[in-house]
Amino acid sequence: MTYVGVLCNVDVSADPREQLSPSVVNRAYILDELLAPADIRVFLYCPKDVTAGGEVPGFVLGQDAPAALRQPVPRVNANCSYSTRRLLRQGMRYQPFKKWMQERKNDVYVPYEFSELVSNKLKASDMVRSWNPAVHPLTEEFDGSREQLESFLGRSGVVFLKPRAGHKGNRIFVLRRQARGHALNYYDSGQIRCFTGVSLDTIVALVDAATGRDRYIVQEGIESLRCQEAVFDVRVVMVHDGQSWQSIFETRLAPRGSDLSNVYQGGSIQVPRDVLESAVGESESRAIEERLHAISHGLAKHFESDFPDALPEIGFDFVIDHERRPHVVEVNAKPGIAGIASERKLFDWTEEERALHEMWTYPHTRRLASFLRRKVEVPIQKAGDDAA
Amino acid sequence: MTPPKRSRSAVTHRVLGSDPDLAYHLFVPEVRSPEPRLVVSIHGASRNVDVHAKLLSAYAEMYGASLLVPHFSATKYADFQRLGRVGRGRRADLALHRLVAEATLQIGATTDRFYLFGFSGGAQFAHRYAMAYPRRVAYAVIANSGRYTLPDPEQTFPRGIRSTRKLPGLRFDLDAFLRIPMKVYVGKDIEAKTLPRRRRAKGDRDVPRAERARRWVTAMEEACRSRHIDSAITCEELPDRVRSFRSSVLRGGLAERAFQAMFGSPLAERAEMPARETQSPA
Repeated sequence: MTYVGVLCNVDVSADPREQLSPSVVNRAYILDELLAPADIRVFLYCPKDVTAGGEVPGFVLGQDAPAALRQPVPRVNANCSYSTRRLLRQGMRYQPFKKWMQERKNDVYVPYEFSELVSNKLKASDMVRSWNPAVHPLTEEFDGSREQLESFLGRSGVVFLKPRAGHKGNRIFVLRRQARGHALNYYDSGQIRCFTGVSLDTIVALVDAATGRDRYIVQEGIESLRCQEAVFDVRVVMVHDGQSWQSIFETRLAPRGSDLSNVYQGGSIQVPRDVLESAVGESESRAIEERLHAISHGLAKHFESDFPDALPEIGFDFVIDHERRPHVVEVNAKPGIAGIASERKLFDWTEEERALHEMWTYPHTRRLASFLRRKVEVPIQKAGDDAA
Repeated sequence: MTPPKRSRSAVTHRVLGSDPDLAYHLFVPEVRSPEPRLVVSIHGASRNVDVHAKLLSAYAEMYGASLLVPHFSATKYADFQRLGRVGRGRRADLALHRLVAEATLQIGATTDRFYLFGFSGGAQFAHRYAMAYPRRVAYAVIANSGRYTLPDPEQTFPRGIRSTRKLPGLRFDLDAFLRIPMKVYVGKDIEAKTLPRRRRAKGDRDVPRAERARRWVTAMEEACRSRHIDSAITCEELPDRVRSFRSSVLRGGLAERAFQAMFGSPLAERAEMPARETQSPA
């Protein structure tokens, strides 16, 4: 029996099925099921609980209730934890933990270095633009000046201000020029604050107070295609099965009047073809999908070149402009399971959802399972070859 | 990295002409409402006047209101929440009189009454100031106050409104302040245990701020009933836990709700826009 670790924010004193998000629970349970025939089991644990001696308390899954277990940290690990730096303040701290894992040759997928790169939106933007500047809107570090905002407003009717290391679509400003003054929308935790008819000086002051010491980026906005009068984006989840990249598409439709389609800001997951065909018709829809496919594969390989054989998945969020050109607006190191699997735990899935899980959840997790299985087995084969 | 550029701010930082120890931020909108509007925002114990001024100036601009944010320094105005009792620093109420007088000169418009907005410690000041000077206050917004002065003439200030020698010359006009429109905002699930120990011993140890606010509003409403005055005070819960002034404004929508309560809709949204009075700051 071999264990694959799933690093997550699990508390050993409570049932993981209750405390963890649907995305993590579904991923863990499905991976466990898919890996079981290869005699590989999933072991859930929290990085903060890892002891210097190498043991960690956690859970193994199974048909019945998860069983608490204390055992050595597995050599192959899938990374589903969030706020890892903050989490590890209670443990051996972030940098020592990374070093500790490296020294023991424990692999973490996705690698922390890749998460660090992608979580910095400026670096992620530079990486995408180094592959093809035409596919990423102009992005700069926000210097807090009116002049910079004016310059971006001169290029595009919409300007985004995002935390350099933000997530879930939180704490984002969207700025537009109006007939009189400017309009600014602020998004956080599903709430929108709207400011209309205000001057750029006032906006600069507001943003300064709202952002505090956090670093922000300023990004040229893309006037997005709409479906049912709402903007949408297409997330292409690239998953590596250990041999090649595969793409899975999902679309997120924003609430009407909102600039953001992120599900944490009220967006809803939709079947891509339905949305694209509604927006541009059938033949255009196919052409857009082909473009998205080509860009995503090109970009995945480009990112992989810096992290060879180490990336199981990458998420690219695209906005399609009115000329049908895709623009990458976000890169995600841990995009979550494609589709609706982040909404409900698998214990509560309905039969009607089955087709959607076949389209999104299972293709994604099968490839991840294949990736992890290869990582577990390759060194074993290698050791066998060496012995021969 | 190049040092960040900072633009000229729409908010100006000033010092009172007659008292260099008294600083304030002032924002004057380019387009003003037909009737003069002056909003005075009072900071809490953190004295984050810059954040108050910059966040609220956007709302002030939308509503055509001028904004004054006094800075009651910790060294000179240590007791500003309770207006500045003898031996505990300067009188914050009297300082505000001077600030409003200077600000109205700067704005170039006369206002008999202003709109008072207080957060946390600033909300303590705001409701006590409104109680002491009801004829100067057009509307009071009391947000996330930790303590309240009851409309009780039997108890000495700051627990009640019986005059105290510690604030010479101050009298409370109960009938007048009960008529001031007031809005009380509280956050969700606040478990503040910020009462002094001597009061915790009296039984209100774990009363959350939201509950304290509701009790105060009830006391104000009862005082209105007993004097046959229509109550003009309401309490509203914000849809978020109060973490800070910034989060209350941006996540909880505190300023959005407060400005709407004070003025109705923003200038741009008014169906029939009256001819605007456009002025430049003096």
